[in-house]
Amino acid sequence: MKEDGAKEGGTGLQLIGSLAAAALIVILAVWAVTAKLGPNGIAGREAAEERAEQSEEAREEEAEEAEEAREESGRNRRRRGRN
Amino acid sequence: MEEFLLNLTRGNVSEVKIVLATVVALLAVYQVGLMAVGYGKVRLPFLKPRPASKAHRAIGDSIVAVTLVVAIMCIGYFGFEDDAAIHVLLACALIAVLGFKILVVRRLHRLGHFLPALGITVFMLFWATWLSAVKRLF
Repeated sequence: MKEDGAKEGGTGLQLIGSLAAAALIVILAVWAVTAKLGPNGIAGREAAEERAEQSEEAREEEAEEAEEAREESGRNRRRRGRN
Repeated sequence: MEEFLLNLTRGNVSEVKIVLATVVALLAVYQVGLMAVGYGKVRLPFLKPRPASKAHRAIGDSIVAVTLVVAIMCIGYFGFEDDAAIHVLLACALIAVLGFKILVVRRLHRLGHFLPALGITVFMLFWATWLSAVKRLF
């Protein structure tokens, strides 16, 4: 009788241990994945990429405007030279 | 649904999905180990087959719950996108085989001898589905 009780207690303990191991796996998985994703995650990375794209576009626009301005001033100089 | 999921995860639907799916995929490995002990294929001094089988059942129930949450998040937020056809197919196969396995465990006991094969199939489908999702995101 006493042996049966001890056996069941051992089984219960083993069950709890197995479930605790599963909980540990869950904790480790969450820790590892969040470490990989970083503080900003995918949404943050996408936002950063979008910001980089926008600044690149702005730089290109500025370069185009500067080019146009240079061409315009060249035309004006030529016009003034002719006059 | 999309709005609800965005509010629930504070805009981090993909991240939460990845975390939950990774937890499930790793637990699936643990489940295979537990059942190897449960069937007596692996003998451990600190874990007998009966508690291993009981733990397998308890963790399995949790895995099913989390898997359903992931599936609802995936369909509710991403829908059935054309470029994710393989992922959708694998996920549908997973849900079907998992459902059938639960049915065999709870009702169709005469098909019990198929459980190891069903378990291995579910395990492989979990990892294939996880890999197909992660490959798309990174």
